[in-house]
Amino acid sequence: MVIVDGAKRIVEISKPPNRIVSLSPGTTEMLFAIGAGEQVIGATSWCNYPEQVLSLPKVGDMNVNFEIVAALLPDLIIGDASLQPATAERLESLGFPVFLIQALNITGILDSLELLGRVTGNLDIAQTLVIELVEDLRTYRKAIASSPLQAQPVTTLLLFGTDQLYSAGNGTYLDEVIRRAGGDNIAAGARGQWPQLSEEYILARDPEIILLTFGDPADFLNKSKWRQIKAVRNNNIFSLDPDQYNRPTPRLIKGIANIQNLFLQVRKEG
Amino acid sequence: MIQQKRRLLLLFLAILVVCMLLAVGVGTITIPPRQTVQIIWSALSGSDLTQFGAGSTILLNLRLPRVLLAALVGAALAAAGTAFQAFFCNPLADPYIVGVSAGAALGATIVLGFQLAIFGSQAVAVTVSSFTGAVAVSYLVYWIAQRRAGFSSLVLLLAGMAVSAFLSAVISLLMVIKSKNLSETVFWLMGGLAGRGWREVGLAFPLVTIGFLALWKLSKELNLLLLSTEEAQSLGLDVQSTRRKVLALGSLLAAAAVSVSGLIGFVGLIVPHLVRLILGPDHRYLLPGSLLFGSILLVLADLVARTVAAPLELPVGAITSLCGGPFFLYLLVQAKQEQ
Repeated sequence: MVIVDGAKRIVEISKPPNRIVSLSPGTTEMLFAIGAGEQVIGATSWCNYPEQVLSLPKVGDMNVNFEIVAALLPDLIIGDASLQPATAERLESLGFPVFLIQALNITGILDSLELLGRVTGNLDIAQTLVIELVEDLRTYRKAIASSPLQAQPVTTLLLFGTDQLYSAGNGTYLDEVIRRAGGDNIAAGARGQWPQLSEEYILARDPEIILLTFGDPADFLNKSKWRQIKAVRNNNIFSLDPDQYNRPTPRLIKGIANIQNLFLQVRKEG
Repeated sequence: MIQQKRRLLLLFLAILVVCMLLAVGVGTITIPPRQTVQIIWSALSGSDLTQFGAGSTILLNLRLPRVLLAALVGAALAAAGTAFQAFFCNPLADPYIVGVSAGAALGATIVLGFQLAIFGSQAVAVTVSSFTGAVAVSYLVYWIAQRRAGFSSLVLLLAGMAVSAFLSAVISLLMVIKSKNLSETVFWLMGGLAGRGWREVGLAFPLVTIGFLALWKLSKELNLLLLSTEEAQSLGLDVQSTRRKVLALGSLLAAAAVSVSGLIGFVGLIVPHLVRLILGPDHRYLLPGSLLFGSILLVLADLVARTVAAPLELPVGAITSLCGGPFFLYLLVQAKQEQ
């Protein structure tokens, strides 16, 4: 089978793979979600979901250990398009096909699921899952339409930590998650995909809710400089599970419901 | 005396061979020396390798090129360090002293930051670009130092430092602007041999061989450089042209090393000192001694780097500096006590 992957590379796969090495936590989750978990024989030390992954051999983290990969004799290596090009080159030169997915937004997640289903021979399960997720997305949209979120989205600040103030900018999957949940992502107005926001910018945009994937909400509550913003005054600072929200996976799409509930709660109070 | 030095060199060579055999056998899966020989023999004679399973891929495409590259890089750095220490008559000189590292780092940062590729390969682009950067910057530094009437190695040293500092600033800015690919650049700067293959060996081998042999041929001149300029000239040495050659060859060796391995510290600084303690200051023996010792050191350091925290690979540059720093301090304190 010759197939074009998410990074627009042409990949040749001789038979349905049954010795897959997955090089990112996101791809690992997707593979298990489409029923290809049995075919996965190696993952990274960051891969921790679902639980079965923990017992698989670890092939490295951001840096792939080529020897361990080679020792596993994989028939397909699956990774995210953000994989270092040199790493993909090296793995291919060792004779292992490398298939990359590109899941920068929610459409990308859905496309990737279907693509992985095709490559691993699990197209039926993948398509069923995609239909289910599309249905979920429709539910979120309906919920917004019948709520105050339609007229007045919740101004949202999402941060990956409380020291450096990095956020998810326009066009990222987290930006889309916030919008689809009924929020207005203040970082969408900043330059770059993963912008580092200035304190002034946050104060000026005055978010109603703060979502943290890392860091302690107390860091915001206890600092006088943040006392003025609405989210702090109303104690609307919430921690999100970083594994669920920092990876482009079906779990992320399911997680929109949780964020939508937080938004609705904020609107009800306001 | 000479007989004894030759014997020591042979001993170094034997140790290197043993270390390489050890390094090739140890890792994720252990390949005993017997099987190593069998696999290499089968590969050379073109017979079937499938009976060896993953072992043949790991040995032939991963470990063998990597161990060879470690030996080449260690050799190049140690030889370049020896050359620069003679050139500056200064024991603190290292292969990166004239800006080779900064030039290579800039070249690599540009390629990684802007995601460039040559022949569709980023790895090739990084190697070519860092080599070009290294050669260009060392030439630039030399050219700046030459513009002053009466060339002095002090000016060369200062120019090297100034240019390096300037380029470090440019690199920092590039890393901030192109922060998306920051991790790749950081790992490159830390130095390492992970993921390197035959292509890098093919590039480094001719450069290191030619550079070293040419330098070795200059051994007697290098010995004279340790005298004062007047003395050397009175003994019939064309000091200016010798220095130019030594500088060019040292830079070439350092550039070859840095372009395939990133920045690996301390090998080029320490090895010449150690070998001088064992073999004395005569460059006819010091140079090959440093070459072999540098190889041994880096082969072992890389072995530690890839096995000690497996599956995690440590940057080999961190290993050499971690062991090299304290050892160098020990040497310094010892020398003081002797005085």
